[in-house]
Amino acid sequence: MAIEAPEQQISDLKNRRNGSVEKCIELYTGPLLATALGLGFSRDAAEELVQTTFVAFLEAIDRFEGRSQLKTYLFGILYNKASDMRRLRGREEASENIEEMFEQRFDVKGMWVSPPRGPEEEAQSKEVQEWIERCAENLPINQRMAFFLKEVEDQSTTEICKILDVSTTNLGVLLFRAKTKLRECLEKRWLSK
Amino acid sequence: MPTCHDVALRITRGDVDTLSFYKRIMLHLHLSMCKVCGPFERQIKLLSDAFRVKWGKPTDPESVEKLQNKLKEKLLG
Repeated sequence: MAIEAPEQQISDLKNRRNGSVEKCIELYTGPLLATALGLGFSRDAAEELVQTTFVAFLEAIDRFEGRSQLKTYLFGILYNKASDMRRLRGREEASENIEEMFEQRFDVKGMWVSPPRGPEEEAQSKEVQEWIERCAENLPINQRMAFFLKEVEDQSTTEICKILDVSTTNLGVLLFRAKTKLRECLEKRWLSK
Repeated sequence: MPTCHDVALRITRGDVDTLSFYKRIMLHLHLSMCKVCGPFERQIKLLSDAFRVKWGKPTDPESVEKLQNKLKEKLLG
């Protein structure tokens, strides 16, 4: 169950009282930095992103009504800023028909026509780690963020939907596309090794 | 019994838990018998495991502290 930001905490932040901003920085710098790195930003760019996130957070704090957790609110800002940075760097991928890519693996009776190939274990192996890093680079930022928050940060569906500002159905689509694309990419790399 | 397509779709969507008890049993039965869907499920799990290995490690405390101090200085003067 998500705990919403308590009124006192919000009031302290709005008035910059009782070391509230310091506490916020101490609590959330680590998770925000980890997420920025998980989105594929270099160390310098990730630090820049965390700084931009906190600046925007303090500028927007007067409008924060406490309907979500503070962490969710901060992650939402980080996601928007990360999307802006990616757009600026021209890394947004053209949309692909992932659903078609998935459907092509089956015949009309729902049987595999093209069975999956590739690694099934050894997530820690150097080879798999290198492949996953390369394959993740090709994911659009919304899919990568959804997958990262779900699988690495272990955030609830409700919180992820708030961060990405999407419905539960849309989140399902993002996760489906991320996993299909990553698996297909891993398979291609495995076959061509 | 669900088809391979149904099973792969559910596994990729990650919403097996939302199925009814009966449908879940059928899906697991399919997985235990199907020589293709089993490996497919392990591949999907591998994606999450590899992501956690790659990006799930706690960020080095020293660099986090350095960044915290930089942020405090910048934001609080």
